[in-house]
Amino acid sequence: MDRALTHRLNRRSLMARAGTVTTAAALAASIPTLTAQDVVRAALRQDGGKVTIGQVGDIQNLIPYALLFLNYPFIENVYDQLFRLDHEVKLNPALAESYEISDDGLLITLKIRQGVTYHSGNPMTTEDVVANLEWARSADAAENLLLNNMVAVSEIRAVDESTVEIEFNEPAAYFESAMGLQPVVEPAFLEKMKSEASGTGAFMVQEWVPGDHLTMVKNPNYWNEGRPLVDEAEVRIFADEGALVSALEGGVIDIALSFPPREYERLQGSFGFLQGQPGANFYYLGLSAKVPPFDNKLVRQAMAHAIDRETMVANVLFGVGAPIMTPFPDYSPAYFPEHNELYPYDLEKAKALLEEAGQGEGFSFSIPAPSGFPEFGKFAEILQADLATIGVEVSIEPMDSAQWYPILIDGTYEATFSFAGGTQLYPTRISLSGNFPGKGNVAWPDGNAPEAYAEGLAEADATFNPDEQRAALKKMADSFMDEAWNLPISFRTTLFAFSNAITGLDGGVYDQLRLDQVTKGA
Amino acid sequence: MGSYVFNRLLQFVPTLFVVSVVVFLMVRAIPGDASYALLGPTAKPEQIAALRAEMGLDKPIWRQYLVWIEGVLRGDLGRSWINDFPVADLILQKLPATIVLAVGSMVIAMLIAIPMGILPALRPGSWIERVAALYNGLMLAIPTFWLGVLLVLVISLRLGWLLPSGYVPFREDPVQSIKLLILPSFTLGAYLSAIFARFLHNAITETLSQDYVRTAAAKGLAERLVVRRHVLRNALIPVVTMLGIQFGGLLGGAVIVEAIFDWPGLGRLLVTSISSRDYAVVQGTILLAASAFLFVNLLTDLTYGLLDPRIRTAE
Repeated sequence: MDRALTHRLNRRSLMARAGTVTTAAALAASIPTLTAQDVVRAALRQDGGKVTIGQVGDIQNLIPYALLFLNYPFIENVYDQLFRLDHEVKLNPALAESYEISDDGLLITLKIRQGVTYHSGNPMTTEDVVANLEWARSADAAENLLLNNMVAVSEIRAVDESTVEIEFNEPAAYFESAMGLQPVVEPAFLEKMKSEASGTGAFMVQEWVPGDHLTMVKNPNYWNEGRPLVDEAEVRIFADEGALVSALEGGVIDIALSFPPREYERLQGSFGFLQGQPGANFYYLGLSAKVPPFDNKLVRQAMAHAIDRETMVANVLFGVGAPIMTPFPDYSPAYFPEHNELYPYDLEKAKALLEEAGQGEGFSFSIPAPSGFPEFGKFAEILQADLATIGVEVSIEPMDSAQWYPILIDGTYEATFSFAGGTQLYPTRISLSGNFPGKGNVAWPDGNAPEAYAEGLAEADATFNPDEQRAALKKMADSFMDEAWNLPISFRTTLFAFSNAITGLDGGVYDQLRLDQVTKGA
Repeated sequence: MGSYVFNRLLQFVPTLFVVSVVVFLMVRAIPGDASYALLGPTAKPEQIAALRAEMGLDKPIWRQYLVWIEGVLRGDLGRSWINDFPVADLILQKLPATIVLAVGSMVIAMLIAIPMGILPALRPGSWIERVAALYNGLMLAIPTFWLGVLLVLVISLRLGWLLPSGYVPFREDPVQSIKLLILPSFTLGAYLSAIFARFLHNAITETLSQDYVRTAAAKGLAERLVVRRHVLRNALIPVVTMLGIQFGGLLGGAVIVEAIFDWPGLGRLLVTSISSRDYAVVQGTILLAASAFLFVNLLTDLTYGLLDPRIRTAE
């Protein structure tokens, strides 16, 4: 499926606008710098109005630092970041207009945009930027998922009205892309941002009723003139995927987030679809190297050969996603094509590896199936059937998601499906999930991941030189693939579905919802 | 009457105390807590530990209970760990939609149950009784969630007569509010109507066989007068009992219907808070539901006196 925005016009709306289209097409012919498609879209676009978005699962809080998936609908609409990451993972000016990195990598200088105001009307200053960066460094902020990006920061200071300097103890290559996640919250709201919001974004929070809806209205003083294009956006919360799909079909909502892939084929002719960023999330099978037989690398590699990724993507994910061997997308500096050849689906090869490891008689293990992620149970069923043919018995344990979280986070599993993210950013950010870091890794005895992997992570973090980064990332990725304790399966692709009246929809690098360019036609 | 009501209200106290202890312990018996749910599967153990300490979950369980119950006695149900909203505010936000759905379901249930219960009892062996028996059997057998989904598919998506989901407060848009109420009310009310109809049918049949009813008929009173003056009031008592129980239950929320129709009621709040282990919200919501159930049953008992003077005299 083409991940690009697909705008589908139904016959009725197209015929109703025939006159406008004809005029627009003629205009396009006389302006060489625009394409006809641009002009048609502009002609059909109707600014203003209200767009309604639906998602299953409640917005947890209004903290832009808590990069929780369920919070994505508002984060980049209510709050701007220092820079805006595009889909090539390049930084574009936002609240900061430019940055410079010193030759030794120990100083980053930011030029802050002037004339920006918060939703409260107060002006944004460089001291505010410092206050937010300091908040991100705060060790007490349990819901601050940017904390790990600040570990190398030694000092932050506002030099003048437009300049902020960030000093580091050591070079932190990951910090560059992290600036695309750093929000600026009005400092007076930092302590109460769980339920109250004041940012600089295209929209302001008008009303939040937990469990029901979040209403955002256009920021009339937005620094990016001409944006947003709609007057109001409402996020409605659904408890059930079926209700979400019915609401989209019934016209109750215009955009559905995390649309269930099983409905894609039925509705692809009637609605537009947008795929999320490859690498923002990926599914994997995690094996605990602390417990036998998975403490044996040969057994883990056997498991890698036993995963039928194609079937899992086709039957469980309904084709939405892509089978992967490596967690890094092809645009990542940690992507090496040869890794795709390492573990083809081959049960005979898996059996041979088990025999080499002394497990030729077979063994058994359990896999949790948390209710909140039904795809894990279905992955497990496919794996269970395949492993049964080579003498390995898998028991699937259904459980509540809240029961599963401690098992995953504390590393008390034998094997578990899960998902991780961050590989679309600087590759070492993969280490932010509990069974991926070099140190403190819950999947390994004493928390120590394989030495080459840990060294590769550290070396890649410590240099801004592209060649040195590439070499370090290869060291890290080669070890990750060889040790095979986390086995990638597929990208976990977020699917956005939208009505034909919607144009300009974008999911950001993290599959956040970006509404500043959205319009809603008749 | 006053002392009777006062004594009944006093009985609420030990009941609610037991409910508070049971719900407090039960929700903590479920593995996992809000810290894991809040930070998600990519969290690290040290982040979890920091958040648990912030939430007071590292304290002894008896101390956690005392802190909570002391707040409840001061009228403070606590705050949600997930969104930091006061629990009382969250409940008050959902209460109107819950009451509206409960009342709507009851109205539809009674509108159907009264003719489906009375007419077959008055015309035993007729086609009316056979139709009523078929209706009751179907409505009792059909799962609520299936009926709800079917209504959405046919009425909303296929015919386009009504929107498939949503809620609008009556004061904002009365017409839209009622239109959105129809499908979820009918989904719940259909099942209830079958229960009430059967109760009413049986009660009327039994009352019709009483001597005083035969006497009234023998004196030449018209059938409708016999039914209205002598049969209905006596037959309604068991129905009122069932009505009170069901209405009290609905005030705790109707989880499945709320999910199907995106109805922002207490049922969804409860399920969401259980899933995320938002203890204060679970505890507060269940305490409220229990209180509402007790209060509705008190009103039901008081209604008996209106229907039957003998009960009033005995009280």
